[in-house]
Amino acid sequence: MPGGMEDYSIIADKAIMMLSPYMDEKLTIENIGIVEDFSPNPGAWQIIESDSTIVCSLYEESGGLLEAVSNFAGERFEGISERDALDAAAELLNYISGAYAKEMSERGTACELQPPDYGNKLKKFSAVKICRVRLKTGKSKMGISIGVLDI
Amino acid sequence: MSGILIVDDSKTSRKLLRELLEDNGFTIIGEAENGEEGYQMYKSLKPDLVTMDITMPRMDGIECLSLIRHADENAKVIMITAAGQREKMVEALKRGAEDFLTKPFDANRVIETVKEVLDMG
Ligand SMILES: [Mg+2]
Repeated sequence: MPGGMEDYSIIADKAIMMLSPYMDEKLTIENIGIVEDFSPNPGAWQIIESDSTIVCSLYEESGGLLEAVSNFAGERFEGISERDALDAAAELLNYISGAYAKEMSERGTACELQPPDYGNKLKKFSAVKICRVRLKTGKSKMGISIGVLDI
Repeated sequence: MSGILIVDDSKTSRKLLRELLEDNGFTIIGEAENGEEGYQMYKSLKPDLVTMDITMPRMDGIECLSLIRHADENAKVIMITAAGQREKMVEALKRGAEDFLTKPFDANRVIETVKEVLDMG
């Protein structure tokens, strides 16, 4: 069932797997829900094309994405809005999308990844339904949004 | 000493790869952030090896690989991509890439592959 709940759960699972080495050991899911819109917060996004077109984004809530990208890139960034910090978020997202694509290809569905992009404000996407997973650690929060595009 | 050109649109990815290769004694002679720039830098720098990301805006890695191999049939190019992009890898190997690496990088595999392609293995 492409573009369904199963895709959301595979992507969320890969995201946690890829993010956890770079976040503190208290990393947990705070909540999961279906929402109307993508978060407008700073972050990275990427389009994954297969039977359906999926947009996946990593976004900042309170320091979680900054924590992840600083540890991932091995650099101290001033803030998440710094270009290099967002570039690192995009690369981390590319790993997550790649892990999802690998799993889908093992299940017989090929996915094509578009280059990830990033910014202080998410580009406007019109998605049918968006799943939002909020993550928290001992001291920070960040989110993942996954939507199937309405095209 | 061998000079390597890194072509990747992600600055973070270029940095991680540069650090890994330099820590293992390799010399990076240039970094390009898309296929067009990569092709121009290949012609001017004549590197011993190119690490070529596939997914890039403007000109992707497969197109850049084709141009480089057309200009220099002995060019050594290792393709790099996120996991799960099998079709693109097959296409790149058909067009003359020596080998490929997937992200996230496995340090040992990166070094082994680079050494092998440079005939240092
Ligand atoms: Mg890329």
